[in-house]
Amino acid sequence: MWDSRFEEILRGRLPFLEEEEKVGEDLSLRDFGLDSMGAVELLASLERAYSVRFVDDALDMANFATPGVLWTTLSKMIEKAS
Amino acid sequence: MSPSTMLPARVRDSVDNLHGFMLQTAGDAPGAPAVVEPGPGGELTVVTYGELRERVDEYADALGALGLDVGDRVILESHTSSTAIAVYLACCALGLPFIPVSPETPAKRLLAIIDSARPALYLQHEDGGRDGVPPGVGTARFGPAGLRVERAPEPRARRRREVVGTDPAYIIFTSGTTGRPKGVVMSHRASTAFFRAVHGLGILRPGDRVATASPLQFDFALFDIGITLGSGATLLPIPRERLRWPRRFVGFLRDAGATHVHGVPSIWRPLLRNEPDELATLGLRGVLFSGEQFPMHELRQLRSLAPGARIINCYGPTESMACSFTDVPDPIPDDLELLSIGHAYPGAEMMIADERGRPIERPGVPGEIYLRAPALFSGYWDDPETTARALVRDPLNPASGQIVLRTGDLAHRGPDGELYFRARVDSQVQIRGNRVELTEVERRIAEFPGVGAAAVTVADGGSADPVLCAFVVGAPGEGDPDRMAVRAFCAEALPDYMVPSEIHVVAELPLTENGKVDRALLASTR
Repeated sequence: MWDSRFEEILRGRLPFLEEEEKVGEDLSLRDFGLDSMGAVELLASLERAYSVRFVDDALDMANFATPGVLWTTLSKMIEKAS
Repeated sequence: MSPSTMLPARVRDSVDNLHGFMLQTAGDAPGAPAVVEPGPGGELTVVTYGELRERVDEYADALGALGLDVGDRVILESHTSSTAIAVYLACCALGLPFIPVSPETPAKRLLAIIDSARPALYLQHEDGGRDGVPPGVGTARFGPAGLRVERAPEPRARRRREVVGTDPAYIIFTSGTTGRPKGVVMSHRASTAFFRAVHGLGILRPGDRVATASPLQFDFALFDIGITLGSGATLLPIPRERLRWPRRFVGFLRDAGATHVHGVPSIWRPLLRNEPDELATLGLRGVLFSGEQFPMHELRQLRSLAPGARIINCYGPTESMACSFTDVPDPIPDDLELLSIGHAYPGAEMMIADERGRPIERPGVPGEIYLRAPALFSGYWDDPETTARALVRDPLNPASGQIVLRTGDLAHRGPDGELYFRARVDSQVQIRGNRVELTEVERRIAEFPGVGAAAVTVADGGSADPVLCAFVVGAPGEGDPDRMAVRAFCAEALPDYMVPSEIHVVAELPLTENGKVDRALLASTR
């Protein structure tokens, strides 16, 4: 499961998520307001926070579909970087 | 010989037509690169002008065999590619008005376009996933193997024998105030006159490599195709999935050897923010933008990262393809706050006038822009009333019968007579360079069960693009509308740039003194 930093960054990009709502693994990020512009900003925030760089193949909206998928992708990038 | 067995009409070389205009280089320099795009394996491949012409001929033969008549509409669902261009030019040669749509166009919106345009044929790529095209419309797929007809168009009588310059070249469907998309019809004569005039500005030369960012369903894409091929230069359609990610976008520009980039200002923000160093190494020679104002601090940054590049501010509505091409000063003066939209391109003229059509000459006084040009649209598809409001008699010389375009844009003159855009006369706005009628979004939201009233406005997106904000009032006796459900309801029928980014549920909509919804007040309360 992800850390609190990840969830905090994610929440900041989901304008349709109410504060009291939980971030589930399979939440549809698109439905909660993450558009392609938001995804680019989210990517930049994650790369900064975790000091990683997503490889080109990882830059795909499919990897930004749900928190679960995004965290898995991010974890792979962290592994690569270390 | 019965009309339907007649050979299809094909445009003569002497007639104004985009087919001849864009394939001129195929005769002069058939080996020159026309399009560079990812091939089947993903690697960049060159399509020469000669190859492009061959493909156009193949498609024209295949389309001509379907029994269509001059004037029958063909919808093409595609991203920009050499194949899409070949289909476009084949349609031009046969006098079939071309309607580009996006694979991302929501089904409901597409059906509204089909319902209005009544096309003879619907074309999509072999890999396309569109279904539900209504019976009565022929369907076919295109791919490396050519055209594959799935459902033949209904038999029809051929009544036309000549493709003429006044025949429609394309129809661009854009946001409409009545809640259905509005089709802007442009003729071959208007488009070729436009491109020939703009060619004189020397924007592109053979050898230039032009990355094009706009989706095919906007006329900005058709502008890029026309100006690039008409100049004998090379078009580089930026793949959608690479445009989305700054790092991959800049990587494409580098890999494809782009010298010029054309697109709306909002394509630059992610690049400037995330990949400025990469951008600086590209050595771009030209940037052309259109569709909305370029935020000045970002334009300054771009200017400094592309030293010496010619940056052109293109202004004008779909109804005239464009009105002006103004060079951004180099360097940009420190005190410059508002970019000029300059003067009309050579052979056209802009004037500003008050509500009664009286010209305004004095600097600083706002008025509506009227355009006088050989390249005005023919009319809105099937909408003579709206057409009559945009194509009007020349207010300076109404007796002449000359028609000018009333743009709906307000501007004022500067000290040298140059124009500065101020605002719209109506509630049309630009979101990421796309034109949006606020009333169309409001109508859609108001159709949602449980919504009593809705107002939509544009608000400053902070450091990001301006965003659409909807303010929604629940119907009497119903609870608050579910914001996410309202948003999903919009996404079913509207393209993504028309779906509000913010939805606020409010108790009532504030009114101005004269009883209109006070959008400005709403925007300030969000």
